Parts: sequence; structure tokens; C-alpha cells
Amino acid sequence: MSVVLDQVVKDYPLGSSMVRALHSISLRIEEGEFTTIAGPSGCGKSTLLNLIGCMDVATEGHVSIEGKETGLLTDKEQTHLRLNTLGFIFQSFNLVPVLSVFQNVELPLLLKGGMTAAQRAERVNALLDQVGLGAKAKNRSHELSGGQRQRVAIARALVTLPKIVLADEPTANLDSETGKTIIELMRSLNEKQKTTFIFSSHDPKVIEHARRIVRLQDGRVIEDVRK
Amino acid sequence: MLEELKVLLLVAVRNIALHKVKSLVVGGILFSGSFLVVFGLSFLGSIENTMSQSIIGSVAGHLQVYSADAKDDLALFGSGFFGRDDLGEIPKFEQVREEILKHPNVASIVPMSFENAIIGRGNLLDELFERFRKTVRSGSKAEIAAMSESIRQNLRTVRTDLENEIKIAGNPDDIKKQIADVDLALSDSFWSKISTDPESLMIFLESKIAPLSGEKEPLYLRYMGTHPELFSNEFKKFKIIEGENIPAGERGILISKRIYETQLKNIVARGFDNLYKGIVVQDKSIVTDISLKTFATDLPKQYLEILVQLTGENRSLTLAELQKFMKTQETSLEKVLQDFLTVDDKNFRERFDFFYKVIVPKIRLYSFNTGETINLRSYTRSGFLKTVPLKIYGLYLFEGLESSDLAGAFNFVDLVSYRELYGRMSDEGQKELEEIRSKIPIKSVENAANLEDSLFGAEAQIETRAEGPQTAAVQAKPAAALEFRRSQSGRYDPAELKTGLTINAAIILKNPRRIASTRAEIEELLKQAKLNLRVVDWKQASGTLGQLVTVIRAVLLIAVAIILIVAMAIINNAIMMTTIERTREIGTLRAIGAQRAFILRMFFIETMTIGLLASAAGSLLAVTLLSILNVKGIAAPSDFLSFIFGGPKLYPSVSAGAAVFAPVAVSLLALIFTLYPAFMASRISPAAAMQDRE
Repeated sequence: MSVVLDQVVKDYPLGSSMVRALHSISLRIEEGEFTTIAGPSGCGKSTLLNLIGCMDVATEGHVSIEGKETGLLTDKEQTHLRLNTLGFIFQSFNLVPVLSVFQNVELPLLLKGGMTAAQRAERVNALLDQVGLGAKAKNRSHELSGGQRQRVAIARALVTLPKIVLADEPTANLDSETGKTIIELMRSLNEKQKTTFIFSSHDPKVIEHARRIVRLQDGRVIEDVRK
Repeated sequence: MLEELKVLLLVAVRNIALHKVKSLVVGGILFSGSFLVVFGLSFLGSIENTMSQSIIGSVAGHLQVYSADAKDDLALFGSGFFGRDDLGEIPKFEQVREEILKHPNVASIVPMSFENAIIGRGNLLDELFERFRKTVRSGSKAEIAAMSESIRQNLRTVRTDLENEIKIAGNPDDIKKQIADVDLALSDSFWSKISTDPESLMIFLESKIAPLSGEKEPLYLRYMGTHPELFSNEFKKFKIIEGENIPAGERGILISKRIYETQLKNIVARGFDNLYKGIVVQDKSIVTDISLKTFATDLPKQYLEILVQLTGENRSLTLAELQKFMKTQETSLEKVLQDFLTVDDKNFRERFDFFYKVIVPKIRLYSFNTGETINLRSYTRSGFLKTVPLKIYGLYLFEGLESSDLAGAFNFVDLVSYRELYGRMSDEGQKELEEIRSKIPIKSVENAANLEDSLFGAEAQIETRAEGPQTAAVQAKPAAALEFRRSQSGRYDPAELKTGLTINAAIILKNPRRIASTRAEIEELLKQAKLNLRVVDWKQASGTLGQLVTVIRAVLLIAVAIILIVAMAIINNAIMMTTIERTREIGTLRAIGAQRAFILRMFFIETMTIGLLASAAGSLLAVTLLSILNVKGIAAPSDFLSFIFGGPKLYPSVSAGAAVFAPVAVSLLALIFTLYPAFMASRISPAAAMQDRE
């Protein structure tokens, strides 16, 4: 199993009181699954993804990734885990504006180290071809359309060959046609590489592409179906 | 690692370009800071160099030695207070000389002692009457008649002045009496006595009329007693430009060219000189320049200084030439002269030329001339006024420092005459006193100074004279006409310059780089020889002046430090602002696996990139500017600065140390001020990547 959440609670401070964003969530996501966390905005989707992505720590309960309990890891170990095991796709693409498409995709490899420039170039170019942006390698992110930027982000998320890719509303900033293409790309990568994909969405058209739908409402899982 | 550095550099350069305002603010500050440090330190370094050459080469030497009993610190260029510093004395220079010359790094030791003298300058009518006396004694009848007329014309001017004075005076009766005296001196009956009783006529003029024109301000001369030949050999900037150095064994004085030009020259000529410098050399205007305006306003008021000197046929000649030049029919020389001296920017050049071509040859241009003898009056150590007549052997200047009042602030006399003015008898004098003592059995008389003390006490104001007849306190007389010779002889044994009393002495070193160690070693040598003396370097010896550069440097560094700290606070703020702007970017980097250390490095490299680029550019600009100034030179805006600059222009050179040090130091400082924002950035949670929208 890839991801295990056991009785996870997350509280956020709001003024002097605490607001509970997640109520005792237990969830297991297996390797190679293509899962969406669905629900209206404010239901706790992003909070859940943050906990899985080692970007936040649960108030109660346990989160383990690839058998490692994330709450027990140091900041350095969590960062290491994000770098080597996880890949991230953001709603706003979050490309580094000063870098080219190629450099954006190459960046995680540089952070990871241990590869020659040629090895890196081979990996990056292969991925860019896969997402259909081989010709745009030298462009800067602001020269690309939204869909193209998100494809760069997908390439960046996959370049370290992560076990799990987390995507927070990956199509929210795209038109429906482009959104569909992006989801299809993710799905085909999931099928080819057996990478686990967990993405959040509130869009029914996107949600229907998932093989497993975990539906949240007010911080609770109200539905968990596999197709 | 190298690949990562490449990315960091790339991110840094791109970010610098992306955040233009921040980059401009930070870069601009670092650029200016670096420029200021390099330019300031190089400039000061150059000034220190030129000033040290000015001070060392003109009077201080590398080291100065003086009594440890001194109550005041040695200040060769004045302590800032008028009056006499108590510097103790070195009673036996030969002992000190012998000990100090033992040190292998000492090239020479020159005795020197400073003192102030007063030279009265009489008054205008005195000078006129003195010439009249000579004319009466030896002149022809025609000459006497012309001179009499000239005196009467001058007296009419005096009378007009007195009449004006009566209107504002508190005691008009005194002035009425003075006018009555002048009227008498103007009357024909008075002048009819010229053939019968010239003496009583002249006594009346000298006693009753002369005081009406008022004393000229006395001249204060600072002088240095030294070994003239040795001084001239050891101080390379010293140059005789007229006459000769005081010969060995002779008494005499060398006048500073600067003092000669600025204090001993006819006041009208000086006015013309000052205006010439302003209008012709510096291209300023009387209308706009306040000091030139003052010179121009004063000039017509000083016409008497010319008028009284024009006697006999010179008077009518000058009037005729002035009438022609001024295109006027006016017959009063007084009025034409006043008109002539009323100058403006337009007519100045013509009048300046006319003045020097036509008028100057007819007047005495300087109070004293080379070859003449002046009476130097000074207070002895015990408080008596002592006068020593000294022949003016020549004029000197310090090369490159011609226009500096500081370098030309003193005149040279032989050390033996100095000692006499100081109240210390020469060996010869002592011997003479011994002889007198053997003839007259007074046991208590030890020396002349003590005799004065015991007779009159230190407060007594008794003027003593070295020798010679009673003459007016001060005046210049041609050497040939000088009757007073020293009672024993005017000469002295040149060996006396190497023995006996001095106040301080300059030490010239073979290797000036070892100044600090040599100073300490000499002090030790003197201590072992049980000589209670103080040894100071040229900086200390020159008083506040020597500390000037140290003070300016301290002020500059403090100013730079304040500017940099304020600047760094601004930099800190600017980086904080961009950190906030870049929260999502940093969060993203953290989310995709960048460690905190990576974020820190990213900020440091950004600061270092902009810091090194901007501060190197600042340094480069300073170096370029200095290189240009090194060729073109910076003109000294004042006479004081010409001393500091070691000449009329300063040619600053680049301090290589500062040019390299400044960019590194400024960048490092910027780095320190990046620590906090960088640390804050590294604490940004990876969740921040999710926060806002593009």
C-alpha cells in the first residue's frame, strides 16, 4: 500500500478558537490507483492532500507514506520524502517564472543530484516529448498557455519517477476541454508507469475520469467508491 | 553541487532582472557605498601622502625631539592659540646631537626654535617726513621746494579727514586743536622757516603732525632659529629665490616669499594682486564675488599709500600720465588717483597694467628689501623686549607650496641671533661678561637675563637692544647706511650652531618607512644617556594639522558606516518585501523537494551576485574617476588646501587596497543583512505553494 491515513484529525486555529478541518479520516490508497478526492470547496480536500504530501502535520491520527509515518519525520526527512517519493501538481501550475520549461522540469533532478547533465537532459526531454512539449523546452513559462504550463508541471512532478503524484485541483484554472486533456494525460501516465495519482477536484466532469472517488463533506468521508 | 550552483546563479540573475525595483535599490546602495569607500579612502590616502610630504619636507622632518619638561605639545604649525608655547628647552644641543646620530637610521639632525617677533611699521607721515629730512640735509633747493609742496598737499588731505572726523567725534575740541596745528603747518609763514630754522620746522611736523595719520598695524613675524646651511641641505623643498642663504657665521634673516608678498608689499599693490588673481586667473567677477567686491571697495580708500610716496617731480609726472590715461582734466592728483583706483571688471586689466608699468617704478613696493636690515623685536624668556638688527639676506619659499600661508608662515634667522632674542648669551658673550666681572667685583651677576630679572622683575617692560644707537623702533635702512655694528663683531663661530641651546630639533631619517621603530629606539637611546627628551613623529609635531587626515578619515568612516547601516536596513527591508512576494515560489521549491539550506543559498547567491556586480561597478567608477583626476589634478580651492595638497593641484592616486577591499566588504555586509530575510524565507512552509493563485 502507498498511502495510509488512520483516524486523522486536523484542526486549524481561527482567532482564539480551533476549527476542525478533518474529522477522523481513515483511508488506504494502494499503489497504482488513480484516485480523486472530490467535494465542494472548503470540504477539506486540500488539507487532506497537504497531509499526504508532508506539507502539513495531522493534529491527531497517523499518516504514513510508503510505510513511513510522516508525523515522526524531521523537516529534512519530510523534504527528502517529497523529493524522492512524491510529485506535485498545483492548481496554479507554480512554475518558477525565471526558468525555462526545460530548467523547470530539470530542477527536481538538480535538487536530488547524482545524475550527469546528459542523463538529466535525456530524462527531461523524454518527459517533455511525452507531454507533447518537446518543441517548447527553451521557452519561459509565461510564453505558454495554461494547458501547456500544467503539462510542464506534470512533467516536473514525474521527472524524479515518484511513486505517488499529488495534484490539487489540476484543472481548476483550465477550460473544460484542456482540463479533459490534462486528466487524460495523467491517466495514461498512470496506466503506463503505474504511478499512484491522487488528485482533488470539485468538477464532476473531471471526477468521472477517476477510477476511485473519495467524496468529502465537511471534513468527513461520505463516499468511497471504486469503478 | 556545481550544477546546483549554476541553477542558483541562473535563478539569481533572472530574479535580479525580474525584481527591478528591488535590484535597483539594493544595487544602487551598494554601488554608492563602494564608490564612496574607494574614492574616499584613495583621496584621503593621497592627501595624507601629499600632506606628509609638505610637512616633512618643509619643516618637521620625520621626527622631532624636544624637552620632556615641556608644558605644551610641540605644534610646528601653531597650536591654534596666539602666544608662546612652553616647550622647555634643550640646553646642550651637542649632547642630543651626538646621541641621536648614533642611530644607524638617522641621516641628520637640524636644530630649530620658533618665536614670534613684532615689527612696527611707523606711519605714512613719518615715512614722508623722514624722506623730507634727508632731502633737507642733502637735496637741492628745487627738490626741497617740490617736497614741501607735496607735504602741504598731503596735509590738506589730512585736514579734510579731520574735518570729517569732527562731525562724528565725541571730543571736537581736541580735533579743532589738531586742525589748528595742520593749518599752521599749511601756512606760508611756517614754510618760510625752511631756510632759517629747518630743524624746528621738522620737529613740529614729526611731533605734532605725524601722529595724526595714525600708526600702521605692526607686523607679527614668526621666525625660526636654525642652522641655515644645514636646514637648506636637509629640507629639499626649501629654495632661496632672491638673494642668498645666511652665510656661515653671519647674523641675518631670510624672509618667506609668501609673507613678503602678502604682508610686506604696498597695500594698494596687494589689492591689485588679489583682484588680478580673482578676475584674471580665476575668472571671477567683482559683481558676484564677495571677497573681490571688498578688495575693489577698499582700493580707492587706500590712495594715500600711493600719494605720500609720490614726491617732487614724480607727483606732477604721475598726474600727467594719469590725466592722459583717465582722459580727464582734473588737476587734483588725489582725486584722479581715487578715480583710478575705482576699478570694475571691465577696466581692471588696463589699470592693473598701468599701475605696475607707470606707478610702481615711482614708489617703494615692499616695506623691506633684500640687503636691508630690520630690527627684530621679541620678548626674551624673562619677559623683556629685546631688539636685534638683522640683515635680510634673501627670500625663500618651499617648492610646490608657494601659495600656502602655512608653509610660508615663518622666517629664518641664525640660531645664534635666536638665542640672543631668547635672552641667552652666546659663549662669546659669556666670556665678555666674565671679563667684566673680573674688572668690576659684582659677584651676583650670573648672566644678562638674570640681571634683568634681578633688577626689574619679570613684569618690567624694558626694551633692551643688542647694540647700536637709539633708532625708531622699527624701520628699514639700506645696509650701507647702517651704523650699528655689534660691539664685539657681527660674526660668530659657526660651531655655535651645533652646540648650546635649542628648543627642538628635526631628525631626518635614511629610511622613513621605519619611522615608528626608529622613534622608539631613539627614545631609548636618549633615556640611556639620561637625556630627558620627548621624540614625536611629524604627525604629532605638526599639531592639529597632522591629526587632520586621521580626523577626516574617522569622520568619513563613521559617515560611511552610518550610511551603510541605514542602507543595509533598506536592503533588509527590500529583501523582506520580495520574500513576501515570492512566498508561493519558495513554497513550491520547498514542496518539490528543496531543503531549507537550498533556499538560504538561493538568497545569499542573489545578494552576492548583485552585491559584487554593483560594488565592483562602484569601485570601478571610483578608480576611473581617480585615474582621470590623477592626470588632470584637482585644483586647490584655497591657499590652506594647497598646503594639504602639497601644491596648487592634488593628483590623487588609487588605493589598490581600497579598490579591492571595498566591494568585498560591502558585499559581505549586504550578505549579513540578507541573513534574516533569507532565514525567514527558509521557514516558509511548502504548503504556501497551495496558497494563492497565479
